[in-house]
Amino acid sequence: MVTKEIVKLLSERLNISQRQAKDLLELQVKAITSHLQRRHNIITRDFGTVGIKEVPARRAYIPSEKILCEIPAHQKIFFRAANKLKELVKSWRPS
Amino acid sequence: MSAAAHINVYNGTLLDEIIHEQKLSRELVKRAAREIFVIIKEGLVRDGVVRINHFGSFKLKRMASRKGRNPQTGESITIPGHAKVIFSPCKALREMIQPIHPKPIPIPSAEPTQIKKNVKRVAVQSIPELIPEPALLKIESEATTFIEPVSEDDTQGKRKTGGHEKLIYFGIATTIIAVVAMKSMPNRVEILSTSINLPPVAQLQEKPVVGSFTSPVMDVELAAQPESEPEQLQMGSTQSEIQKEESASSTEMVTVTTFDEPTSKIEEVVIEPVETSAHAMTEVLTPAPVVITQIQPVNNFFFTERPYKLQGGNSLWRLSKNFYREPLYWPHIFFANADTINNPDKLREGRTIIMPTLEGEPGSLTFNDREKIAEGYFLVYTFYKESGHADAFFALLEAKRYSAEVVERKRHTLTLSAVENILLDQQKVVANL
Repeated sequence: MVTKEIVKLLSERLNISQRQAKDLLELQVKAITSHLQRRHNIITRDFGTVGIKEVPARRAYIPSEKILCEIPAHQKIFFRAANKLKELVKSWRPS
Repeated sequence: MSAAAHINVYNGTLLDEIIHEQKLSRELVKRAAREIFVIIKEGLVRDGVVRINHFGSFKLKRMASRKGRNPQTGESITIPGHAKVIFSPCKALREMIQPIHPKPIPIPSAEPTQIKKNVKRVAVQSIPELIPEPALLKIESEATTFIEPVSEDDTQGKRKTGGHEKLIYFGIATTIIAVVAMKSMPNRVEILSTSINLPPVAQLQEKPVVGSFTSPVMDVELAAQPESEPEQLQMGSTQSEIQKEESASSTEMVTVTTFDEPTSKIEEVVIEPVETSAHAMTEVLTPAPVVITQIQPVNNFFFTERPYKLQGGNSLWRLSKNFYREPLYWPHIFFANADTINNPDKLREGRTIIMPTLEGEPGSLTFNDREKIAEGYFLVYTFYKESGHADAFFALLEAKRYSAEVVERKRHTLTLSAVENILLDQQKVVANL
């Protein structure tokens, strides 16, 4: 599923035009990303949490180059699925 | 700025922002938000992947069953196979969160293979010191003593081919046989293989005797031998003996003494076996040339100094935790950037600071680390004292915990109350911090 399909389904269910549906989707994404930029965790009920976590510096070995590296501390976007979403996709198998 | 702030999609600020921006009805925006996530769920179950522009993609991944353990009871359990939701943000979002993704920094000093090679080379380098100078074969008698140093060129080739000590003993054995043969002939030594024309006895030079010898030692220059192989003739003691000396300096020496009475004339002197044995000995004992390579010093610091550009949400406490694994070392950063950072509690985004070196690991700091952290705490104390912070004195106590010397060095500049003086004296330096 891609953005276009989401917009189409959204317009059908809300009885609005696809342009409006697209605007609503973009607004939603924009609002979420702006909060992520401010290091907020975005919680969606029965779906999950999107947020930013800080990964501390660590040492790693690169087997192909046979060298020891230090990976500096950095920030990472994470998604934690809610229990209901986990239950929903539990029995999913790739077709 | 707190990273733990939670924003609900269906209520609160996020919804208000959208409504305020587009002047839409609250109910429509709320319904749209709900429907979007319902559609994403349906898309995940249907296709296994949902891609949203300028945000990212949600994917499902099938995980195989595996064995696990119940953390509460410790029982071994089997976790059944299931699907897992994975979110991968788009590049624009990733760059928005972290504009420059840090690349891994190689640590050349910690490469295990190079270290092993260096250790081997060190072991080889120590060999030439132990191996002696080219061996000398010395034969002493009342009348004659041969000292035949052998050139290094002859000896190096044999060493490369891997000579053994057996050859030394072989040489000694042949020498003994020769001496026995000489002893059987009173006052005369004849060697058939080579003949050396000796100068007249009048040319012999007298030398003082060293040690317990009573008779003079005489050197004879042999005309038949080239300059590269000089031979010396010395007079020795009166008893027959064969000695092999392996001194601490590892100089090989064989002493052969013959003749019961001292002789004043030497007509023919040569020892065929001696020549061969001498060569054998020296060939074995001379070391092969070893290439000495300089070993570079290994930098085993826990953290090496590097610049860091401050970002939103950074604090010295968090930076110290991320880079040094211990947040309490944050004054170390403050001390290193005293010119850049005016207030340790308020960092300016976009400025580049230096993350200083930490030599020891957290919990086992070196002397330099402790000094610098103590200096940092002292700097924090002075800053807090000037700004009227209530907990300024605790920074001074921390400084003494890391290094008492730093505090004692600067104590005369402080204006402490009586209670503070007592508390500071009671503060002890902790070994492992």
